[in-house]
Amino acid sequence: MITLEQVKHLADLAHMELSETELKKLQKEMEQILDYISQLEEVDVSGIEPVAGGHELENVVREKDAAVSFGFDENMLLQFPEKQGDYNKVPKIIEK
Amino acid sequence: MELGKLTIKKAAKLLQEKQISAVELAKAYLEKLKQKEPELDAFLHVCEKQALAKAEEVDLKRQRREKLGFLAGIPYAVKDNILVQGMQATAGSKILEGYQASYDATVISRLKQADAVIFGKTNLDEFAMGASTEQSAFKTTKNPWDVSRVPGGSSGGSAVAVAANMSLFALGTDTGGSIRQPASFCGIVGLRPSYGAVSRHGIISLASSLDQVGCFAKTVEDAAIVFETIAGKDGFDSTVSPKAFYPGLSEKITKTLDLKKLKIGVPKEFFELGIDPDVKKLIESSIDWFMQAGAKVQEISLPHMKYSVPAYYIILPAEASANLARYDGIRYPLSKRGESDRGFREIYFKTKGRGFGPEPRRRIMIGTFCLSSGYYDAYYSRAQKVRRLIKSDFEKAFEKIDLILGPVSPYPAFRIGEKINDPVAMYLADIYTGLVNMASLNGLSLPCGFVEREGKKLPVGLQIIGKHFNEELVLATGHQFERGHAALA
Repeated sequence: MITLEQVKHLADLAHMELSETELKKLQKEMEQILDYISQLEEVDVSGIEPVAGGHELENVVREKDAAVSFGFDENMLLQFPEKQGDYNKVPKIIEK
Repeated sequence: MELGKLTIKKAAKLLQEKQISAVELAKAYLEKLKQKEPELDAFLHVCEKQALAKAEEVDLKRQRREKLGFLAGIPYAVKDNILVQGMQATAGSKILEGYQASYDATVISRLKQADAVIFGKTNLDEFAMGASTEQSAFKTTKNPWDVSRVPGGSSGGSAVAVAANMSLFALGTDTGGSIRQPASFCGIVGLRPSYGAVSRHGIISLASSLDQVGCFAKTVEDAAIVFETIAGKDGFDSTVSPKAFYPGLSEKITKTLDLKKLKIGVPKEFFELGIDPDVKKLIESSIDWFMQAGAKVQEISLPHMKYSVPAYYIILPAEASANLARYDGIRYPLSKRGESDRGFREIYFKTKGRGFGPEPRRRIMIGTFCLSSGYYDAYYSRAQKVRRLIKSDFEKAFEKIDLILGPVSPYPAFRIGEKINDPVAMYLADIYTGLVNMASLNGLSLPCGFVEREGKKLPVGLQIIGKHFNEELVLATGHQFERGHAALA
């Protein structure tokens, strides 16, 4: 039902580096899970409106007031994997 | 001080009357915690110093006759996927090891305002994905009734913290049963509030349309006290409804409810599934108790119930795969870098590949599959339509009845290792609970008796399901049952 190639492609989409053994194990487990969830095929859903979100949302407004912002938190900076001075450092995302 | 018999209500009274101090109470519970923890593995982090400092502060405030919240001096534990400023929040995952929360979840700010005393963070299945705590990347929590069995999950650590008298109440999250099922397995009360009743701000998201924070306690009244403290609108989470307003709830639910006016529905589908015969007997005898008390009990039907778990295991992984995308090795401490320095993509792949355990991996893969081009309509969209059918089933049922009774779990606590290698068998643990989340309703799990397995008593929970935002009736009914049924036993 799901090929190893498909599993590799999905791992790629999900940005997970997995070993060949891990991928094969996932293939087996996914087949079992997909087989189980595929029973939804037998439900007639024609004309049914899909549910999006936890409940029917109402418009919520709040008083206009000065809320406490997060501000500068040393802790936030300290636990960042890479930093330079007071800045968080992220890898370059645009190649030269 | 006999901790086993203490409740929030009783402890608060003792504190108010100065029969005990908050420090004495904290010390008694901390001692119990330290004594039980090596055997039960309920906690991932214990903040003893902070707890004692807070207890001292409460005592000082009381001496000075300053205003104190109702929960002042009451010890509690928090599932490790809820943020407490300056404290770890691992969500049971290696990928968040070393992370410290920089702000309080709204539920925590409210408990701090109420002067409750936090004891620490409790164990859970990784990212709340599981029904046993065996999926935690750190340890497996044990059931206090039989340590060879699971406490249930995902909020297993919080359930055990309360069941083993390591704290007086605990917070958990319930996305598909993660509060009610461990409450049932551990013999305590667990409340999953309606979607939109409690703020999710500061909760590590699993599936945003299903997640809700709730609580574990010894009694229904205690659960109501905690719930009314944490519920209600919040500027940080606009999905909290203005209808989520529960003033004086814990008092209201103790006023005599006329059970003779109560219309109870029991879905016939609940007993057509593979339910343990001993559990079935206990649920039936609980229903009998309500009939004898004069309530009108009628059979109802939830025709799409059998599709609830499969639809849930499409919607949940889809939402989870999106929510978990942020753990990429750039923003949180765990960051795996390769030797070749191929830039950010390599950091993503290595961090996620190493940081996520088996269950998050499976769900991320299933979620990615269900949302991927060509499969979206067949899986995700179809599951959302089935969710509508499940909601409609409940709406139709609630035209004739006030609430629904049934089991929480098809079986009592299972053995450690029994289901861990069979993902689908573990998913089926949610069969009576997940549909409540799918319909955004509230559900209460409360003890209704024991079964015996291998010479050990194991508790079983009864589930009361209520209309959206009608926690009051559910809790009032639970309170009556707790008093009346216990008197019989």
